[in-house]
Amino acid sequence: MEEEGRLARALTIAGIVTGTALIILIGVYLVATANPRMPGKTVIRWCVDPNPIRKEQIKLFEKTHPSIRVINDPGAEAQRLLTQLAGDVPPDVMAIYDPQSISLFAKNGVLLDLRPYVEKYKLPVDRLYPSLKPYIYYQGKIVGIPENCGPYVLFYNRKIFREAGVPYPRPGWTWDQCLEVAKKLTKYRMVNGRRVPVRKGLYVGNYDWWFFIWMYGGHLFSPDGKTCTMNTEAVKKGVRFWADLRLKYHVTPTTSEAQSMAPTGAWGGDALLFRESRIAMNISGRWLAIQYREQKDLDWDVVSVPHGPNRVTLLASKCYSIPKTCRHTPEAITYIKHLLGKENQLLVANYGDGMPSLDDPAITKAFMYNPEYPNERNNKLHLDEMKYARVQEFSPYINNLDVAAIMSMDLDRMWLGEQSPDQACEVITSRINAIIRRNLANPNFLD
Amino acid sequence: MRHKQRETLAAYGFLMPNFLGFMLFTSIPVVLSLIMAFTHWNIFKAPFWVGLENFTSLLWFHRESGRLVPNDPFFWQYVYNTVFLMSGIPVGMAGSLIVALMMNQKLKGIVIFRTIYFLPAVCSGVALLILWKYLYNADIGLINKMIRLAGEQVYRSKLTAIPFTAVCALFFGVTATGAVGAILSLLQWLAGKMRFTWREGLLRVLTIASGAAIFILIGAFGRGFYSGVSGFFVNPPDWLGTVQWAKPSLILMGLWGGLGGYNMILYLAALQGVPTSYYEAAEIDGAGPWSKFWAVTWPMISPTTFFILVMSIIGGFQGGFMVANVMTGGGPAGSTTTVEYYLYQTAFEKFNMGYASAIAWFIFAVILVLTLVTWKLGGRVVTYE
Amino acid sequence: MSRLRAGAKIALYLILSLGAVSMLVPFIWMLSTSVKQPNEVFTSGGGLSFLPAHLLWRDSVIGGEKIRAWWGNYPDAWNEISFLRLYLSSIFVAVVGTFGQVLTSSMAAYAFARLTFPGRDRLFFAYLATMMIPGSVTMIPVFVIMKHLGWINTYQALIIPGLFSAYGTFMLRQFFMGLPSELEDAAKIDGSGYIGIFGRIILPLSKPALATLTTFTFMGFWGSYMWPLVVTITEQQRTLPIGLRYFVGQHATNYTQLMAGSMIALIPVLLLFLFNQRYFVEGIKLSGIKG
Repeated sequence: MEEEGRLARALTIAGIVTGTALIILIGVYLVATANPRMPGKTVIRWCVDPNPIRKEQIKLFEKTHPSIRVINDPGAEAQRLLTQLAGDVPPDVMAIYDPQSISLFAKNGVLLDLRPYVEKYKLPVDRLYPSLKPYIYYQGKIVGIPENCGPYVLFYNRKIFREAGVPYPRPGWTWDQCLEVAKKLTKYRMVNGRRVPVRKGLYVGNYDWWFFIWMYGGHLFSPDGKTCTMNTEAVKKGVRFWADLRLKYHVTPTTSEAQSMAPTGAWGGDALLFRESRIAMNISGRWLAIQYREQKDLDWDVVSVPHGPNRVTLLASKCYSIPKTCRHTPEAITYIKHLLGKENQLLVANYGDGMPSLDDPAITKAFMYNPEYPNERNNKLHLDEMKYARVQEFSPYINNLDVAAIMSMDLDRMWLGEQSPDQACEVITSRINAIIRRNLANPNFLD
Repeated sequence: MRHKQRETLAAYGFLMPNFLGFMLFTSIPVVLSLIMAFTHWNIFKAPFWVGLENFTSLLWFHRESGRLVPNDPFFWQYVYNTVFLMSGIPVGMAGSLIVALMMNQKLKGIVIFRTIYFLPAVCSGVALLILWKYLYNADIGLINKMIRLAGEQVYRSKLTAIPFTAVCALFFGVTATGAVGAILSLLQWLAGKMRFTWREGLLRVLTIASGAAIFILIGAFGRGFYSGVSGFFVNPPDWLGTVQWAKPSLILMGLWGGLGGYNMILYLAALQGVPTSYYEAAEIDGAGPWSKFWAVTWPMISPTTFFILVMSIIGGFQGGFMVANVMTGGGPAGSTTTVEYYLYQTAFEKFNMGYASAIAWFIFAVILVLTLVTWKLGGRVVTYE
Repeated sequence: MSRLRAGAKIALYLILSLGAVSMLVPFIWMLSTSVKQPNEVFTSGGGLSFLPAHLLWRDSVIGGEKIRAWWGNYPDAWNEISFLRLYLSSIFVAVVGTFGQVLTSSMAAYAFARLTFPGRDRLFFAYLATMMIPGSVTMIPVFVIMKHLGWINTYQALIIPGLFSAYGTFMLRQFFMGLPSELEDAAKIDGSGYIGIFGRIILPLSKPALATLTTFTFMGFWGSYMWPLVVTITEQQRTLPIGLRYFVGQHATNYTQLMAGSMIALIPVLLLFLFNQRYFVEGIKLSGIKG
C-alpha cells in the first residue's frame, strides 16, 4: 500500500513539475515572439468585419506597399471600439455601418477631417456616387470614405416566373403590378387539414419600413428633424399597403411562416428562402449575390424595387474613417486610397459584396459583365438604381436605436394584429415626438 | 490579546494578494462608475456634473397632457422583462439539486453521465441558441412537431381524447396544488422569521383546500378546459413569436441549461462534503431517505444553496444579453429585451456613459436589496459548523 | 451516499439516460455540422439536419461539385486563422490565470471563513457588492488603468485583472464554512500555525470545491471574448474566441468551419473536466481524527 501511495505521489509531483515547466516554456515563447520585429514596416489596424474578401484586399495592398502591413481586426463591436477610443488605443482605419453613427462620431470630434489630404493623396472623393454623401460628409467635412454600396433591388426567380407563365418584371414597375404577380406566384398545400405555404410570392421583412414610408412620398422626419411625420396620410397609405401584403393578401410570409420555410430567421433568412425557391421575389442588396452564386441551379435576376407614385429605393453602404488620434495617419490614408483605387474596386465589383462606390467607366464596365457569372446580365440595374437610391432618414434629435426600438415594438403589435396600421403609425409618431421633445428640452443632449 | 493580533495579522496576510487586485481592478473602477452616473459623459468629450439628472430621467415620471408618463418609456418594460425572466430561478435550483443528488450515487458509469450533463455548459453558446430557436419554431420545430403528433393521435376520437384530457387536468391540478403548497410553506417559514407562528397542520389544511378548489374549478369549467387543452395540442403556439409565450419559452430554455452545468457541479461538490458519518448517525436514529435529506443533506449544503441563490440573483438581473442579441433580437414587441441589453446600447451605441452608469447603479441597488433580504433570511437557515 | 435497491437503480439509470440524450443534442449538432459541406448546414424545407450527406475520406467531385472530405473542415479552420498561436495563448492565459485566481481566492476565502478580524463581514459584503455592478460600465476605467500601466496588448492585461475574483472567494468561503471544524481545532491544539492549517487541512479537504473552482475559472478564461478583444491589438496576443470570430462574416457565417474550430477549442475544457472528476469522487474522510 505504501509503495502505491509513494508511486502516486511521485507521479503527481512529476506531473506538476513537467506541467509547470511546459507552461513556463510556452510563456517565454509567446512573449518572445509577441511583437515580431519588422524593421522598416509600419503596422496598421483595419477594424472591419472579417468577410473573406478582406484577405485579398490586404494582399493586393501589401504587394504594392511592402513597407506597410495591414491587420484585419475582426471585432467591430461597439463596446470594443468605444473602449479603445476612450482609452486612446484607436484602430487606424475603422468601419462605420450607418449614417447616424457617423454623425455621432463626427459630432464628437472623433473622426479625422480628410479634406486637407484629398489634394496631397489625390483621393477621388468627387468621383463617388452623389447619393453616398451622407456616408462621406458631415457639416462640410469629409469624415468617411465608402468603398462599396448597394441600392436595394428586387431579386426574382426566373424559373418560378416561367413555370407560372408570368412575364418577367421590368424596371420601373409599380407596387400594384408587383402585388398581382406575387398573388400568382404564391402556392399552398394542405397538410392534415392545415393550409401550409409552400411558396410565397414576395419577401418583405418585418422592419423594411423605408420602402413603404417613402412609397407615396411620405417621410419619417420633417426636414429639420424635429417632428416625426409618420402620421401623415401619405405614410399611412404606404404602411397600410405593407400590412395588407401580409395580412390581407398573404403574399409575404409571416415570421413563423418564414421560419418554417427556413430556420435561420433573423440571420439572412430571406436569402435562404430565396435560395431554396421558397419565395419568388426578395428585396435586398447586391451582397446577397455571393450567396446566390453558390446555388448553382438557381436562375435569378434583378429588377428595380417596385414603386409608388415616385421611384425610390433604399441605399445601404458603410464607410471607413480614420480616428483623429490615429498614430499612423499617412499609412492609413494610403490604405484608404488603395481601397478607392482601381484594383480594389475591381475586386469589389467581382466579389459581389456590393457595388463599387467609384463612378468610373472602366470599373463600371467590369462590374456590368463578369465572365465567371454570365447569368448576371442585369448588373446595369444596380447602377441605374443609384439615381433613385436614398439613404435612410435620421434625425439629430433622437437616436436611431430609440427609433428602431419604437418602430419594432409597435410594428410587431401591428403584425400580431393587436393594432391596425393607422393606429401603429399614430402611436409611433407620438412616441417618437415625445422623445424628441424631451431631448430638445434637455440642453445636455445636443452637445 | 496576542492571539487576537496574531490572528488579525494572519488574516491580512491571507487576504493581501486578493485584496490588492480587488482595490485596483474592482473598487476603483466601481467608484469611478458611480461618479460617472452623476455626470453627462459621451466618452469623447470631458464629462461634466449633472447631479441627479440621469436618475430622474431613468426612474421618474412627468405629466403629459394630464397623465403621468414615465420619463424613460422603454425602461420599465425592460425591468419587467428582466424580473419575469428571473422567476425560473427557484425551479432551476431545485432541478440542479435533484440532478446532483442523482449524480452523487455510486453507479457504474456515473462519470460518463456527469460529463454528458456538463456538456451544454461547454458547448458554444451561439450553437445552443441556434438549436433552441429551431426547437421552438412554430411549424417545423421539434417541440411543436411532437405536440402535434400527440394531438393528432389523441384527439381523433373522443374515446382517447377524454381520458387524455383528464390526465392533463390531473397533471395540471397536481402541479398547481404543489406550487400553492410550496408558496404557502415559504410564507409559513417567512412568518416564522417574523415571529408569527402558524397553527400546526394549517399548512396541510390550506394546501388540501386549495387543491380541492383547483380541481373543482377545472371540473366546473370542464368544457372550457377541454377546448383549451385540445386547442393547445392541435395547434401549438408560436413560442418565440407571441408576446405571451416568448418569455416563458426563454425560461424553459434556461431551466434545461441549468440542469447540468455549473449549479449541478456546485451541488455535487457540496454533497461530497457531507461526512458519511452524519448519514450513518441518522440511520441509526431510524431516519428514512426523506428525513435524512431534510435533516442532514439540506442543512449541510445550505451554504452552497445560499451561494447559488445569491449568484443567480446577481447574474439574473444582469443577464439576457446574448439571448436577446442573437436569438430573439429583443423579442416580439420588445418583450425579451433585458435591462442589461438596454445598458449596453446606451453606453456603446448611444455614447451615453452617464445614463448607462445610472442604469448600472439601479441594477446594483435592486440586486443589493434582494441579496440583503436573502442574507438576512438565510442567516438563520444557513448552518455553519 | 446511500445504497440503492435494484429497482431504484434501474429507475435512476432510465431517468438519467433520458436527460442525457437531450444534453447530448447540441454537442452532436456541433459535431455533425463540423463534418458537413457548407451548403448542407440547414436543410431545404427548413430545419436543422443532423446527418451529413457525404462522408468521404478524400476530396472528390460528385455531380460536378467539389466535395470535401469529412475531416476537411478541421485543417481548413486550422489554417484559416493562426490556430496554434491562438491555442498556446489561450492555454497560457488560462492556466496561469486559473492557478493565480484559485490561489488568491482560497487564501482570501480562508481569511473570511475562519479568521476573525475587524471589518471582516463588512469587507466581505463589499466584495459581494462589486459583483452586482454590470461589467460594461467598469470596463472603460479598467482599460484606462491598463493603458496607464502600459499593459495594453500584453499578457499581463489578459491575466492579471482576472486573478481577483469575488466569485471564487465567495464560493470557497461558503465551502470552507461548511467544513467541520474538529480537525482544525485538533491541529490548533497541536500548535499548528494558520498557514499549516490552511495547507494541510483546509486545502486537502476542499478538493471538490477547488476542483470545481478550477474548472469554472479555466472556462471563464478560456471563453472570455470581450475583454481580450478590447485589450489586444495585434494578432499575436489574441486568444481563441477572438480567432473564432473570424468565421462570422457580415452577411454569412461559415458555420462548418466555425463548428470545427469550436470543437477543437472544446478539447482542453473537456479534458480538464474529466481530469477533475476524480476529485468529485473523494468524500470527506474523518477517520483521520483519532484523539
